[in-house]
Amino acid sequence: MLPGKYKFKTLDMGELAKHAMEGIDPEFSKKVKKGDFIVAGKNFGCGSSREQAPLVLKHAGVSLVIAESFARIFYRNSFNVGLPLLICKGITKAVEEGDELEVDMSTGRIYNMTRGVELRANPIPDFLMEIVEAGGLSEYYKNHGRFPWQK
Amino acid sequence: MMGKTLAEKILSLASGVDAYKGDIVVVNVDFAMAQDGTAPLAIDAFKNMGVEKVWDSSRIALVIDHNAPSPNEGVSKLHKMMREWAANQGVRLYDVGEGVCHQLMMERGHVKPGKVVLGADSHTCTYGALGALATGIGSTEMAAVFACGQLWMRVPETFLVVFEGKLPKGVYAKDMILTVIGKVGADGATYMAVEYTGTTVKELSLEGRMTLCNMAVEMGGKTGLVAPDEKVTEFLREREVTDGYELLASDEDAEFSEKLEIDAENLVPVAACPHSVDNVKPIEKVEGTPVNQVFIGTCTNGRIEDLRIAGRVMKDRKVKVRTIIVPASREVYLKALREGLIEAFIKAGATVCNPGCGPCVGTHQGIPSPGDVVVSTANRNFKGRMGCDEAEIYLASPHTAALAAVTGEIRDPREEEP
Ligand code: SF4
Repeated sequence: MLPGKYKFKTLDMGELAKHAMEGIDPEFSKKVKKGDFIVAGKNFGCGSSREQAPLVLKHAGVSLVIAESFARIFYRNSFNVGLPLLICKGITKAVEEGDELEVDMSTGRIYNMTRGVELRANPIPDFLMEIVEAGGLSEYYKNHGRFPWQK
Repeated sequence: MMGKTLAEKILSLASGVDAYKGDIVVVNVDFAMAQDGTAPLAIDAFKNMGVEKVWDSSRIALVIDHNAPSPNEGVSKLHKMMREWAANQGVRLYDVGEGVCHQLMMERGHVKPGKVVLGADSHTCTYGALGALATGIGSTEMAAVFACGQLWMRVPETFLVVFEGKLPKGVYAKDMILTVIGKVGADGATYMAVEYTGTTVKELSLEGRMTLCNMAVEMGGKTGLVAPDEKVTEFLREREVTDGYELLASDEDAEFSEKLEIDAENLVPVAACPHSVDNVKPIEKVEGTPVNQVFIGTCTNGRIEDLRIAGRVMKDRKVKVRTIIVPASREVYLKALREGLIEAFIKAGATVCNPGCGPCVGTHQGIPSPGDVVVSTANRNFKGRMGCDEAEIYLASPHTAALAAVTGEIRDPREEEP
């Protein structure tokens, strides 16, 4: 996601975002446009409990990640920084780089417009969507004066 | 009433609801921890939320271990910010040289059986060795926990791993857990609690159980768990923790989602080979691989039992390759000093660094160069883990690592009894 050597250097996300996914595709930060989706395989986000991982993706312009499965902490962190994720079995076989997708996060419907294929992801629980809609957990707290799980 | 797993029992207690796997519950957190890689963001988020005081300053600790002592000015500023915030909030801070966060959490009596403990670090799952449900969360969530002492959790399914029989000589807890990971894969227990049981686990020291639980996250697990017994009560008594906890165990009729049975007598020494932790091979398959650097330490295998094994192998011998030894904590370091282990390491030509994470995460104290082969007792070996994308990291037991240090190659630890 983000090479370890950059993790401790700075808290400036704009700077860190330039190195996002560098280990897999050195051109990633130049290619990615605002609103892009990432489609990935199993255990995406494996290996880090740090929020820098989803944060740099969000700052690089990624608006949604769809994967076969996610590493647990990455899953929690992403929603908490306002980056939604969908778990979708079979997604890697149904999508190729450059395809256009239409996604409904509350139902989990994913439609690949380029290839006319429809897939179903696990819908996102309501309270996690509330966090994403607020722009992250901090923003949620600032708006409501409580956390979504507090009555 | 359906029986419950250990994880279900702990989460029921912490949430006040009769909880079963798959349920989402809101738990009361017993203790929370963040380290210098995650605390700065957590503090930022806490301030950003506009919260004035933490929920309970006696239930929070910060640890400076990942970059300790600081290797550059940027990190120093983050450390300073942690110190100032901790002082302001009256929160305990373990500074440079105290040790790895997870070791400190257990050694200093912050982890109690039957409780929920959260850490802003993946290997928080280590505390399952004491019978606590412990897991890693991110910085923003940690800020929320600092603020309110509660968090939502999904009650995990349990993956039961049963080890029966006596471990052969030269085979350790590290070989047990690497063997399991090799079988189930790096995502084989995703979102699950991995509970270890059976006669072999019962016989293991608490330290060995910590090694097992530490690596539960390496198969995607939410936490590792061992039902606490008298070894746990004894450990806590030494730390003056005598009450306020419960020794729980899974019910006979609890529902386990997966089960793996392993005959410990047939286990062999293994290594996780580059570049993934589930690329596990019997040591025979990699025997003779020339090594450039050996690292003994971390929250996986940097405890006194591990250093004793390394000391027995290295005593009165000379290392053939760069060897870095990092005791997991000040307590471990002092014991090793008194037992003459540190002297044995230094005489052998090894480098002993201050307690902390050392080169584990690749920011200082021993970054390998491209092409280097490293034998490490840590828990992760993916590309770049130790700070160099083209180094080859083998994960193994302290015995295998120490033997590599004095012979310059990977050898079968069964050939030489320490
Ligand atoms: S020793 Fe390594 S694995 Fe353990 S907490 Fe430190 S960096 Fe993480």
